[in-house]
Amino acid sequence: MMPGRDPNSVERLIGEKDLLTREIWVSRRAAAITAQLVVEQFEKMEEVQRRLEQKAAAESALNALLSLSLADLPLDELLGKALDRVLSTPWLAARAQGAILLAEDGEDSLVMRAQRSLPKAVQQKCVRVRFGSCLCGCAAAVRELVFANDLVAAEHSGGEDTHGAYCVPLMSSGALLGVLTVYVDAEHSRDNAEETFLRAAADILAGVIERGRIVERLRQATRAADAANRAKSTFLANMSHELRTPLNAIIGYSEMLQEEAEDAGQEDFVPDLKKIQSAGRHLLELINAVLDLSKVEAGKMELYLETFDIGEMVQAVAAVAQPLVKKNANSFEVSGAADAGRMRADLTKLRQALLNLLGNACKFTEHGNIRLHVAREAAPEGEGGDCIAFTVEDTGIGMTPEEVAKIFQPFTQADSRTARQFGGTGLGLTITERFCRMMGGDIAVESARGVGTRFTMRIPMDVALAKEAEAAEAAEKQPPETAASGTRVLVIDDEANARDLIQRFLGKEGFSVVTASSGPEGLRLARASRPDAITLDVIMPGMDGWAVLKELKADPELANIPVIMLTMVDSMNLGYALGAVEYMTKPIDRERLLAALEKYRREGTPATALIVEDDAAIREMLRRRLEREEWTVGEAENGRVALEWLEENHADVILLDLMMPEMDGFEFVERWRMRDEWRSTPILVVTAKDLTDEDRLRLDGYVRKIIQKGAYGREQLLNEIRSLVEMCVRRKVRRQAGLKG
Amino acid sequence: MAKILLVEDNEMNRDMLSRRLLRKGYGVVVAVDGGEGVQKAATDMPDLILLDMSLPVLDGWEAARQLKASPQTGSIPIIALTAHAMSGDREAALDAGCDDYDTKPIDFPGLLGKIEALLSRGTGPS
Repeated sequence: MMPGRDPNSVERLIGEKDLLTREIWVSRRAAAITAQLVVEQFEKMEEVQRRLEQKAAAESALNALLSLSLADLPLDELLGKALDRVLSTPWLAARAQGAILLAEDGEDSLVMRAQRSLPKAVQQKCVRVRFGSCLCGCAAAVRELVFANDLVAAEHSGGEDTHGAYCVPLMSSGALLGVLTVYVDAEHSRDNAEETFLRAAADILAGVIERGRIVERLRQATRAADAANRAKSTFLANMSHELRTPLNAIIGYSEMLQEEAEDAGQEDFVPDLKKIQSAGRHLLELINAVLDLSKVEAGKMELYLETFDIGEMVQAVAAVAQPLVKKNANSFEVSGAADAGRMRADLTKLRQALLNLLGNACKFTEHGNIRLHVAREAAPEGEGGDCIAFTVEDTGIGMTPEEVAKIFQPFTQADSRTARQFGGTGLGLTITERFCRMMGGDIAVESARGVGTRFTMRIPMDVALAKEAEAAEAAEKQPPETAASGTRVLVIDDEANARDLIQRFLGKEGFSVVTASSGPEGLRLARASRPDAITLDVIMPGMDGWAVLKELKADPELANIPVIMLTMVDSMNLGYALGAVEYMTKPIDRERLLAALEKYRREGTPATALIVEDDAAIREMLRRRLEREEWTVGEAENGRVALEWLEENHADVILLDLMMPEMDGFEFVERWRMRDEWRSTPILVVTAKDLTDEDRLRLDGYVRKIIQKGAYGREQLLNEIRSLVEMCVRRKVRRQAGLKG
Repeated sequence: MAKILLVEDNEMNRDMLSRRLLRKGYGVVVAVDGGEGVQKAATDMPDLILLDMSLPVLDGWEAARQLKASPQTGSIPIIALTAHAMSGDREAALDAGCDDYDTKPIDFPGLLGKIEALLSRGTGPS
């Protein structure tokens, strides 16, 4: 019989205690488990955190690599920087050892192109690594990421301790470009996240290498192309000289023999000698055409502008074309040229262009009519001056629209048969068109098969002006400092020789010279180009110098331009009375003319002055005065500061006070003259000090001029300094231009 | 008749031009390089100098500069003979002090015109 359940029985009590104990145990256990869980959770969070950090570091390294891939650097430099970026990730930064090796074209080996902190022995041994040898070579051979954590020094000839490494092949579209190797500690365990990072880095690196190689190839190609271009230019120049020299002799001797044959009465030799001569001339034309065209293409052709009478030019061209006209029994008519006036253009090129057009017309017309018409045309609204239109019209074979379309392309004649039938270089029209464009003009063609052809060439009346208008337009878009250039002088003289002489002389002195051959042209150019000074001849046909001077002074816009009269006639008083600033008799004394013009010279390049002065008020005053002349001004309160300023900046002139604290003017001069690169800068001493002979001795030979502050009124002092400063700089500019003053 | 100094290194051109000038009645002195040209200008005192630009020893530009810088020869007019349209050649020749230029191959009647113009100018304004 089981005893009855007594609520207070011992068993029951024991049972309850047990229960309690168990509960306590259970709850303790639960707490322990919970704690464990919490710890584990923490650990997991730490791991997540670490992973996140690693990921962030990896991402930033990859971003840095990506931005590097766009940098314009030589390949080796790029690789070095890329390696630094990879090694900067925290888990690699501790060792920061690694290398980038590139695969050689067509060779089974890698060449080390960048490395960081590798042991000397490895650097030497791994300059070149065969595929399959070492870990890098293995990665290259299997084209897979390889990892080892037990690499020992023994494999290399000493110096290296045990380490591990990841070697990642750099692949691009299936081709092996190289291997990225990064060192890790020995016993490091392989890690997925690390591998993912390294693979991504390898992908970007492959891109960097490919781009770098392309850039390198591009550079090489550019260098080669530049060299080839230079070689071509030199070749053309040499060839043209070499071909020309014997041609000179052929043409010259055949001409000479003709003269001699005529003198000796042996007329029957003359036609054959003429043939030799004309064949020589034709060959010469060909050479010249090829040379011209290649120079135009290379941008080496320059314009040589002169002012000339259109009628005279056309007459000369017509005379040269006359034999060509007669050859095919054509009639020739010139109109409109006599009263076309004068124009300013490249005479030689314009003549050549006209001759090309006339030559063509004559060649393709038989028993027909050739017409050359000249007309002045107003420029379209808003464009530069007027144009001269030269129209060459023939009643020859004409062209189809398809032929017209390619007429200006080099080496094409309308029909390849025409070349055989009519001869010619096939370059004439190409060159004509290029010449027109160079002078700011254009050329148009209308033609109908069997009816004839009309070429119309439009050239600005004043090519310089047209170019200036273009330049002015460009200048407007540019910041103003580039617009100001040399001082412009307008030379008005009817005598070509005198114009040329003054132009050349003043050109050498750094003036930019515009010439006009008559009074009205001079007035027009004065209005158009607003020169800084005008030289004016007195005796000119039509409108003489006095009339021009009167008109200049009557025009409020031109009245302020200084006019220097140059003349044979000595009537100085009349000149001054009419408002001329100078009056000189011919022949011109160059020095006097230059001295007169110097006053009006504009400073093209704004200059820099350094003011060394301890008194802030005087500094300020000088600075303002010079800045009014658009000078750049540097300031220093003593010699030491001035020397520091000169280390960083360039001065065209130095204004120097003598009495200053810390380093005075004398000591400054002594230090300043030790420096070769500074010594050419003129120094103007501006001082209140009464200089002793000893003082002067110390400064002698080093300073350009000493100005005593007390000796001048304020405005006078400032003006004196300004003009001295300008003179110093002007001398420098002229010296730099390598010209004699 | 006027005396012309011809400075030209190419033998055929020298021979040809000097013979043609002689036929026209000029006195001709020749020099084969820039150095000899400068020297002969001083010793022979010609009325005019025809100066090739591409010369050995002393090129034409330098020769012109020296000729024009010397008080003895400075007033003798110089015609530069330059290659066809070699851009800058003729401007450089004028800058070097030459009074006129002609391009080779020489158009002889044209050259005669230039020679006569310079000779008749004499010592004009300088």
